[in-house]
Amino acid sequence: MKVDKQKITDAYAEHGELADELIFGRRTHKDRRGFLRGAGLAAMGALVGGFIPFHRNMPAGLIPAALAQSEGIAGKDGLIQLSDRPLNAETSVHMLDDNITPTNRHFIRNNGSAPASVDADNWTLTVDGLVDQAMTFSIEDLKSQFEVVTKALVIECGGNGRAFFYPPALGNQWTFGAVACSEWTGVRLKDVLLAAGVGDGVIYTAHEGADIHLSGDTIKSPLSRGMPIDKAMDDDNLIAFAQNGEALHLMNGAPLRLVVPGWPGSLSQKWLTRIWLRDQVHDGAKMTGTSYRVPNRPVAPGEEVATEDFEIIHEMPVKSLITTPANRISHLQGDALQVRGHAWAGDIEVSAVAVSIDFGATWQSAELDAPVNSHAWQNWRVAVEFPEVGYYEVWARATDSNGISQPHAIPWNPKGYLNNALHRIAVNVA
Amino acid sequence: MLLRYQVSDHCYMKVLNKLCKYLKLVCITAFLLPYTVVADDFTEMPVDAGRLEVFVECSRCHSMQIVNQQGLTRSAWEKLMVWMVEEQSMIAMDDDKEKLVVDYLSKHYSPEARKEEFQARGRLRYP
Repeated sequence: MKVDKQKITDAYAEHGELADELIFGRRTHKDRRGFLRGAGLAAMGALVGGFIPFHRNMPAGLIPAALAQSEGIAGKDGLIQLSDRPLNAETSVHMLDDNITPTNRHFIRNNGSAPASVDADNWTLTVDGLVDQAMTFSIEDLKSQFEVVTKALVIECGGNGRAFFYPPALGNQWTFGAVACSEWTGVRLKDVLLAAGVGDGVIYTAHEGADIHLSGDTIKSPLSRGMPIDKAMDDDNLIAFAQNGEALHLMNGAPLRLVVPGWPGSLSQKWLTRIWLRDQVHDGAKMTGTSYRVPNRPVAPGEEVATEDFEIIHEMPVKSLITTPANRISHLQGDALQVRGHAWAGDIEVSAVAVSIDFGATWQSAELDAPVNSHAWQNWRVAVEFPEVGYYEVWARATDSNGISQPHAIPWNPKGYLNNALHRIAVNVA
Repeated sequence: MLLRYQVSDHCYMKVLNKLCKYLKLVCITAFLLPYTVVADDFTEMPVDAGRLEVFVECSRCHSMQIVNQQGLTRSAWEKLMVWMVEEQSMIAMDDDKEKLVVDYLSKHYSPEARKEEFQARGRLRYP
């Protein structure tokens, strides 16, 4: 009996319940468990190698572990998986060394499941709400009616760095790798909004995608966020249909997504189907409560903060990474160590990067490139020399064009957002 | 070897032992495919009252890999149950089951219980 685990895993990653039905003919009871009238139980049993004693408990859309392909995510290379359902995966920091992040090393952040069908030819985007003329576009319409542009743009998850918070903050425990700077190709969001005509009184956008809520509730959206209209009119926001010159990866939002650099990645709606304009702050999924919000004041680690004291996150803070060398390397004394990485700062530029080898007592300037375009990360490099053998740490610290630098300590907040504490690596000099 | 069950906290164990013998036979006849009924996520959960209930209730919507990343206070787990029912279409549990589930999560997925793992992450960052 030959079983193609990769195909089965891919099918479940795309849409668990559909895979249940297509592969096994399985339908579940009303509580989304078990096998309705036994449908599919024998088929699944045959593939996993035996009867399933607790079949009545088995959740819908759950790939049997016996069939799960654990050799990584199709089309991705070396991502660290934080969770399989929903699929979330980040990149090891030393694998983010490229100036332009290859698609196979771009992190994956999902709030729900990918849509069952992502047919680019029949995909449509609707722009409506407070517009002069509601419009619906195919991807071909977008390409033919608007200027197509390519830009290198940073997308960073608002919760990147959450793993280092203590007390722990609820959510995926991202370390450093929920950030990337790929080349995105698409049309400007601004051009499309102007074509529809921004109505009087519009203050906010609202984004909708075709992904499916984890509960399977088809009315519910897993994520629908929006931004102030001023930010929406920034030239660098794209409605993108290509990443690094190729069609989007399914898990990066194929066939159409928003790319809204500089602000939390959740604004870059994947599987984009609708943008509507509103005369109020959008109140969609993960816009309200404490989602993507931080306290309106500095708080102590572990402090309870009232929900009304939280504010929506706008721009992401200045940050840098050391992408070469990797952490914990050995180095020969006498040779200069070539250190390099990237730095970025929300909607503005990074003006300086410095490194320290003495725990922050003294700092040495790094050579810093201008960004290839606004909202791209900036590459930096520096050669450091060590005065004697022993244990060293290389710390990197970026400063933005407003003179704001990365903090040494972690800026704790209840939901674990915006951790831009400086990055450091260990070097054993022998 | 073929079975990775660790449900010694449950009375299912005896039944399971009998099933094991039967299943091994089935496995051998079914071309020696590895047999696991539940995900590895389950076998990695601490053995205690409420383990199976937590696995089943959480896994209806998301995998245990989400839960396994958390270290939350009892109050935070309680709030999360309310949020999942009120806003995320979770089917409400009866009071007894909810207490069992929250007891288990508050004991094994609390800031204190996870402290060493989180400190280990700190060491990853701060070598």
